[in-house]
This record gives sequence, structure tokens and C-alpha cells, in this order.
Amino acid sequence: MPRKVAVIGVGNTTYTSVRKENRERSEIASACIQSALDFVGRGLSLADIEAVYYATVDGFEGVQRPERSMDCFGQSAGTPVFTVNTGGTAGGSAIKDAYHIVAAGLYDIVLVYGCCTLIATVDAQQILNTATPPLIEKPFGIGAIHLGGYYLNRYQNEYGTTAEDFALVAAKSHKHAVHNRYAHNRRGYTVEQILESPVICHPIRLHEICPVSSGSCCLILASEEKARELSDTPVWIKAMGCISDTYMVGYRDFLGFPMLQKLAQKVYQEAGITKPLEEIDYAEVFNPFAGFEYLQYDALGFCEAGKGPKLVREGVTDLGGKLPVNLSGGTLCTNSGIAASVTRHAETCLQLMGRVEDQRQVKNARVGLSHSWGGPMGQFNTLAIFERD
Amino acid sequence: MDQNVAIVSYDLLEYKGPNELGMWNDEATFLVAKQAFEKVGLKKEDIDAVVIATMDGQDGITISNGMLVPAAGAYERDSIRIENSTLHCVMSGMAGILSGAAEVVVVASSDTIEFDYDYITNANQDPVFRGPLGLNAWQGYGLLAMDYLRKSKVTETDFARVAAKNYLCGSRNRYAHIRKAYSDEEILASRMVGWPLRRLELCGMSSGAGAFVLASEKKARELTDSPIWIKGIAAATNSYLGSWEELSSQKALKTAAKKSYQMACITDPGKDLDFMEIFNPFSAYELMAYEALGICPEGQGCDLLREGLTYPDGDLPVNLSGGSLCTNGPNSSGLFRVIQSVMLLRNEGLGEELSNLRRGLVHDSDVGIGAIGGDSHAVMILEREG
Amino acid sequence: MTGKTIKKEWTLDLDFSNPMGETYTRFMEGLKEKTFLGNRCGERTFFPPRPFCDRTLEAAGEWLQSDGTGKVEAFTVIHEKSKGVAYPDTEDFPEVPYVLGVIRINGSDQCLIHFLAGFDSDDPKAWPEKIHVGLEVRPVWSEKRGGHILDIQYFEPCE
Repeated sequence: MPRKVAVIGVGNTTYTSVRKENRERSEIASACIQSALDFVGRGLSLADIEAVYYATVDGFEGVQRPERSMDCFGQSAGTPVFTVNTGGTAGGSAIKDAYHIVAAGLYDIVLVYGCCTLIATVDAQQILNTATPPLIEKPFGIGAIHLGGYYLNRYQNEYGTTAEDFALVAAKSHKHAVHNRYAHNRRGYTVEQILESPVICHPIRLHEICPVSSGSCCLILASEEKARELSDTPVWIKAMGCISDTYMVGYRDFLGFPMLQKLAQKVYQEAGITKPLEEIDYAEVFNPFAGFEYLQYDALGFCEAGKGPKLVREGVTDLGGKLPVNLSGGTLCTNSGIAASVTRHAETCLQLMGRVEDQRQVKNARVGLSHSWGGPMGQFNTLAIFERD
Repeated sequence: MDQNVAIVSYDLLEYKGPNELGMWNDEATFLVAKQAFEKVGLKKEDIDAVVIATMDGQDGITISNGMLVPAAGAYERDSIRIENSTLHCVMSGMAGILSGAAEVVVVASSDTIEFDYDYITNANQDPVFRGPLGLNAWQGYGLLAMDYLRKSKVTETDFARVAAKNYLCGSRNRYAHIRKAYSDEEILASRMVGWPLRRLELCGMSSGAGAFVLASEKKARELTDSPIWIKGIAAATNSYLGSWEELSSQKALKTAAKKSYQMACITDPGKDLDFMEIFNPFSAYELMAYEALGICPEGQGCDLLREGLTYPDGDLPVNLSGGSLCTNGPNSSGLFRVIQSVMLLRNEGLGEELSNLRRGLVHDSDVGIGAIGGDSHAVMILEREG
Repeated sequence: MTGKTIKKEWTLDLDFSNPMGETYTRFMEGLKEKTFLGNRCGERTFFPPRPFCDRTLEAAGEWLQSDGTGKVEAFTVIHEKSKGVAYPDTEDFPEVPYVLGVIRINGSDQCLIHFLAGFDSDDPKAWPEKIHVGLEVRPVWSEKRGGHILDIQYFEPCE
């Protein structure tokens, strides 16, 4: 019988620019893991973790399988490490696999670690460009700005989304990141400042693009029995899934995120959700480009296609609204590579646990959604529904 | 486990030298995955998830799962890629099935490109202490083999003999890459690479591809009359830094073996198992693995060899496939041994005299990517019905 | 497969620069000064030092010094030059055949892999006899030291 699984702990490290990072990879990881163990408290130690999922795109880390030489995952006790590499969704994929393996009864307490992928990269674009042998660029979710351009140009052409619409949703993230001690970009750009920033790749402006951050994030998952022992605020994974698109883009239409829509139908059904806007209390969607948030509202059924700006203008997806989205600042304000795909889940869980800063805490959030996106041309999506008691 | 998961179907290419397959990974993956489905009447729509067992660095591109998962049927489906070993992927597939998220999962792996093994296994070392020494996999194997030579009563002749045993098996296996039955003498006379290991005692690189299908118990019984049950499976990972005692202790392999035996209710592996397929990137490793797998006391691996126990006509044949000295796809060596084991259990093509094999062990590891430290190991126990 | 197919060749030439962190940076500074630093971590001692204990994640404690003397625990004789090396940032790379060894610096609970040389024999076949487990060795420092593990050129027998 599959068991219920909960997130009981969240670990974070402070985020900074990769240029400024001087912590060695395993130091960042050990601090992050310790912070998750401290979060749970009750004497939980590294020795209690039965398996670790290390989510990465290792080529970008500069050394293949970097976790092999990071002795901070309990390997001295033989703890198995599972190295998950699915591109930008690796965090989501790792959480999903960890969830399955605990539900299946193979382990009781598992840690999922999302690394800071780009601390060793000298030139992110160089890495991204040489990724594939054919002449196609293989974007990872940061940099590769033209990918954002394809999607957002198409969207704008289709629905008439204005520059101000994009700036509004960006400003929403920036505003809340100011209060997130774990965000990287906490400058709190206003709509005016965003509109004044240069267009980097039409229609995307500088302040609508994520930074390249350093820092990491981890989650501790536990079986129902262990979760009730170790936590007063277990956040149950109600449903979680992943969907894959084709590889060669061929003549893929960049209108919206149809695969995410398909995945949402499946995951909502599993979670018993029929009216997402009503039934979901908080969401974190993957927005390395601010405008992606609109495509995600559409795909997730928060509104009709193209009508996202209305939700933002009416404050529906802001603090105090029906379905606050990305009050962490999202990937837009902190993108440390794979860690960002874990952070989308961590932030939702923290909101449901009531553990974020007061200025951005949603009251009584009981059902949450987390999304990750990535892979070649956004080939993959993962989606999770969380619920607390 | 109160539910069972079975391997219901597979397909495997005949392995060749590096870059000799004449096609890219995705094409190779497509060929084997499609065959694997069709053998049991599955269509692409019936697949719930795909798990790929490769590493970016060994595919030559980043996020290589993007290219590979659709080739194995993942369009509009769940997919994941796990880099440690094929058996780690099996655990993922099993977990998906046992948690109710899937009924049918495809596991696939492939090796079609040629890369500089020396360079890559050096690049895999940490950049602070070991990388700058030029340390690579075969140099690390030299250290381990020397240590084993000193710690136990094993001799260099034993090393050559166990290698010869593998080559003999490979020569009889149409799926193996190297099919020449080198003798002890030829092996001992081959060039010394990293003392005490000679060229013919070190695995090379092969190319090929394979896929197999995992199914829930209910689905397995619908799809095939000869499901191969996974009775036990476990994984463990070693530290990268530590005392030499720790680094040479095979701790992760011992831990994984113990746990998988527990799951499979095996108390005396030497007696309870009918064959084993071990990852042996160098000759001595197989003998070291006998000890770690608990089929003989510490330091006495060579006795089993000398008594003929692990030869094809022995009571516990090891590496009937020819092992890694004959076939070593850097990504797919584990998948190769999984499928060979299924063939052995179903008596599908590896010799009529071996028709009574009921239960076998498969070992997989990524020790090949760096040799010393940080290696993951997994052990799986397979059993046929009846 | 039927027809002849073409092959595509490529090289990945990427630049990486990895932060070493304070602990390793300090260790490397020590090498420049011909000192082999270590540290204490709970009940264990590490030469080279570690930033934290891998068992408890506790931060490492006091720093210790040593002259780098230790004992050989394992070795191998490298006869074949590597076809490719990813970290070739030294001019003093040994010529084959040479010896790679595992050394336990005195007092250390972890080992170090490094080159061994300076045996009183030029015949590589004799080296497995000359070098035994337990042989006491000490570092031979490079003339040019820049804060790199190869600031130690190799370890030589003490006697």
C-alpha cells in the first residue's frame, strides 16, 4: 500500500552572485543540509537520512557528477545518493522520485538537494552554447534569453499583452523578494524602474530576467509515521507528476505551455481539484522570465488564455488575493540553477507551514502548488500539489 | 515488499567497439525500446514512465535525457534520468510502480559515442587534490589491485585466471563486444599499464543499447508467462575522502548487498544464488566482489576461483555474459548485465546446459567513472517463477 | 544496420573556475610556505584539512601543522602515459613510468594520493620491492609554489 509522504524540513543558504561566491561546493551543501536538519530539530541528524537525491545538470557544474566528491550526504554511513539530471526540472524530478520511493516503502526519510549549478561557470553562455552537437542551442532555463523571447513574443502577438503587463507581474515578484531573506535580487524594482530598464531580447527587459545566483536549497521528506513523529506541520504531497515533450523542436509552436496544461489536468484530477483558483491557496511557478508567469496562469487554468494580466491588475495573484503566486520573488529574483527548481517546492511548503516572513506570509494557506520547468526548449514540466492538515 | 515488480520484456543490441554502431543514442534507444514493447504487445500509449540510465558526460551533450526519453516512448509521459547506474533507475521505476504512480515503466540505456576515457575519468576527479595528479580510473584500479594483492593470498596469476574466465564466457556470447578467449598466458604477457594490472585486465569501452520493461504484478501477469521478479534491490554510496582503509573497504557494495539479501530473504548467498553478474572493470575486482558480496570470507576470493566454483560449469557461475572486460558500455554496462540475467533465467540464448537457473544477482556501479571514492553501488536479486 | 554512416566529431572546450572555500584556500597558502596544514574534526584529525565533519556536519575545529611526513599505504606503478588529462596545470608532470601512492600523513585519519619517487633504483620492475606498505616518506617541495597540490613535487623515502 503506498504511504502518505510529507515535507517536514526545508534548508536554505543565502544567495549571492556567482562572481562573489567563495564557499566551496560541499561547504554550501553542508550548510544547507544542516539548516534543514535544524528546521526539523527533535534531534534529527545526518545519520537519520536514509537516501539523498542530488539534483543537478552536472555538465554545468564543471565536473561530472560533482556530488561524488562532496562528502556531506552521509556517505560515510553508506547512505545512497541518487543523482538526478533532467535539466532545469531536476529539482522537481528528484522530489517526485523521492516522493515515490518513500511512498513505496523503500525509505522512510529522504533528503532532496538542489545544487547551485553555476558557481564554477566562467561564462554561462559558453556552457549553454556548447551543450549539443547539432547546431541547436540547448537552454537550461537561465541565460539563453532568446528562448524567453520566442514564447513571450508569440504570446504578445496572440493576446496583445503590453510591456506594462509584463512589468506588472515582474514588479510583483520583485516587491516580495525584498522581504525574503533567502532571495538574491532584493532590489524591489518598481513598474517604472522595470519599464525604464533596457529591452534585452524583445519583449523582455533587463529587470524581467533572472540573475545568475549561487546558493542552494533542500527538502526533507518523510513517511507518514516519521512525519508525525518529527513535525507539527507536515505538508503532504497530494499529487505530483512530470510530462515530457519531443526533443527536436521541429516546427513547435511557441504559443503557451500546452504540455503544462496536460500535466495540470492529470495532477489536478489526482488531487481532486476542479477549480484551481478557488481550491489552491498558494502557488510557485517557474519564472526565469517574468512574462512566463502569464503562460503558466493559462496552462494551470487560473484564467482563460491571455487573461493573466487582469489577475495581476486585480491583485488576485498578489498577497491578499485569492491565489497568491511567487511571493518568494520566484525564479526571477533568485536563480541558482537547479536549486531554483527545489525552491519552488520549498517556498510553497514554507507558506503552508506558516514559516515565511510576516510581510509575505499568506494566512491559512492549506493547499499549495509548485511547478518546475526546463530541459531543451522547455521540454519538461513537473507539477506538485501540497496539502497540510 | 507486499507487492512485486517484474521485468516483463527486453531488447538488446549486440555490442561493438566504441563508435561502431553507426547511429546516435536516440536511434539506438528507439530501436531497442520499440522492440521491447512490441514483444509483449505494448503500445507507446501503454507506457507510463521512462527512466534513462546515462550520464551527460558519457553522452557528450548536456541534458541528454532530452534526446533520449522521447526515443523510449516518453512523449506526454513522465520521464527521469538518473546518472548513478541502471539499477538506480530500476529502483526509480519500482518506486513509481509500488507507489501507484505507474504500471508500466521502460528503463533504457545506450552507448554510441566514443570519448577519451583517460581524459573523462581524470576530469571526474575533484579539482583540488586528485585531478591535478592526472589520476584517472585505471590508475585508481592499480592502487586497489595492489592493495588487494597485499591484503589477501591472491596472486597475479589468479588475476589473469579470472580475466580469462570472463573472456571465455564472452567468446560464447553473441551480445558481447570482445569475443576472444584470451588465455592466462596471453593476459600475463600483455602490456603492464598500472602495476599490477595489465592491458587485458582492464575493461575498454563498448557501444550498444538496450531497454527493458518493468511492470506491476497485475500487469506483469497480463503481459507475459515468464515474468522475472525483482526480489530485492538496494543501493549505497562510498565517501570520496577518508582513510585508505575506508576507501578500499568496498563498504557501499557490502551495504547494498546486505540490504538486497534482506529484502530477498537470502541468508546464504553462496547457496541461495544460482549465478551472479558483477561489474568488474578490472580483473581483481571480481575477486574483491566475491568477498564484498559475502560468498566467501575476507581475503579468500581466490579460493572460489581456484576451486572452480565461479566458472561456467561451477556451482555459482559469475559473469556468464563475459562481464565488463568483454562488454563495457560506460552508461549501459549495468543494463547489459540485467538483460543477460533475464536471458539466463528465461533460458533465452546463453546455452542449454544452463537451463536450471532460478535466482541470480546483478551488481551495478559507477566506480568506472573515477575508481577511488564517491562510487555508488547497487545490487538486485532476480528470480523466475517455478 | 544497412548503409554506411558518417561520424560527427567535436570537442567540448569549456572554462571553469571553482571557488575553493576558506579551508582549502588556507591549506594551499600553507603549501606555498612548505607547511602541510591539517585540522581537527571532533575526534578525528585530517591532513589535508576538511571544512566540516562528514559524519556530523560540524564545522572543523583547530588548525594543526605538520611537516608532511607519513607512511605509504598503497601504490601503483604507472607505465602508460594517459591519452588525455583534464587538469594539466603543471609543467612538472612526471614521465612514465612513475609511482602513484596513497600516503597517510602522520596522525591523519584520512589519506592523500600523491606521487612517490626518489627510490634508489631506476628499474621500475624493482620498485614494487623497494616500496612497501609502511614505508616512511616525506614531501619534496617544488621550487615554484603557487598554492597547488603539486607545490609538493612528490614524496620520497625518509631514510
